[in-house]
Amino acid sequence: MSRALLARKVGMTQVFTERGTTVPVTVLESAGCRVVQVKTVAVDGYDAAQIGLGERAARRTPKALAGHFKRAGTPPQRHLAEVRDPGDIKVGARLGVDLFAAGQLIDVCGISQGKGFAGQHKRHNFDRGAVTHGSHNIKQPGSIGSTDAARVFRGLRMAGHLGAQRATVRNLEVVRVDTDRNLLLVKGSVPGHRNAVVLVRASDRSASLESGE
Amino acid sequence: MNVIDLLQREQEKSRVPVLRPGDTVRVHVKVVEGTRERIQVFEGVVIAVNGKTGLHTSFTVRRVSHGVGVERTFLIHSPRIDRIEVLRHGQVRRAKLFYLREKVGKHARIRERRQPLGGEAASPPTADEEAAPDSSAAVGDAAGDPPPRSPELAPAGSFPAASPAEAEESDLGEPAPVGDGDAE
Repeated sequence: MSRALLARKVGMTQVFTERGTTVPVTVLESAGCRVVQVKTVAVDGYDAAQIGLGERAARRTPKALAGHFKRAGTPPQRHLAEVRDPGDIKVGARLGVDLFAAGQLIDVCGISQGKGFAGQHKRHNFDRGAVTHGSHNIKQPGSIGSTDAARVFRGLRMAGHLGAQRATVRNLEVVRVDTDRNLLLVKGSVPGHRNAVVLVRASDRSASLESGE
Repeated sequence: MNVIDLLQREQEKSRVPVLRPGDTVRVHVKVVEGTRERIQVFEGVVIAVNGKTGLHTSFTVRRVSHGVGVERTFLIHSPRIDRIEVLRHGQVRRAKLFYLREKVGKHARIRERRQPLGGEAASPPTADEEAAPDSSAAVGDAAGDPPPRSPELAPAGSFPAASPAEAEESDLGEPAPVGDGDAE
């Protein structure tokens, strides 16, 4: 069973370990995450669970969605996400941060912070040219092709829009689980701005560790 | 209060001394040697305090050991710190005392602050932070510190006139070749 949860990114801070070193952590909060729909091979052609998070006023919920939530027996949810291979999981079940344990590895998916129109250096980690000695090649993209092709190849890395797209950070360590306050403390940074909704799931590596591979 | 503040507040120690640049302190650090743990003392001058208050606050202590300058930076709320004694307060005119790295011997002295800073409430020293058993250091000025975490912002103009008596030289003032600080 792959365990997953929707959570809100609260922000970052640091915590002390017993050895006195500090660990940078991202604080994730997940209160009221519910299973809204369970998809099966028989009905939908694949196994998945749809999970939701966040309140939504009933009068602001489209009728079609309202019916969807009514069938699940959950209040209208603000955000929905689908998780593959959920295992035995019931519609309407509550998901909490106790799905995870300290020391476990997780993957976190979210929408990365938008950077707008960014140059090659920021977007594709290009090197810059010389700044001095009469060089005017400081932030230029360099050659974009040869004379033989007489065109620019598709997918050539250039300046353009950066960020604000789905990003996944894999194998982050869970530092602490606070069930009283529904908090997950995750080592390192996580995609998205503050208050962004992210999908947290047990990482593949963590799953293989559990099954003893 | 937001969650981040709460998490940080929980990790802070209830009482930490108010450190200012120029103070001579004795930091009792827990060190692990093999299997057992013991307390190591690092004494020197606070040459920098980073961050106002809160979990992230750190300070840098410099001492000259066997002619070599040694600087260590601590997080003030670190669980590795057993306690911090403030031995004496220095009269200094800047926030970062990095100039001490180039000073040797008598030039590396810091005049002692004999009066509490203007605007401070004269509260009695708290037992575990201000009790300086070292008599040579405690020259009768331990009374100036407010309780921890109070916004200790004295107006610059209200400094009392510097006392004419030059503070006695600290044990760091031994003549030494220039040793640059390598902080741990």
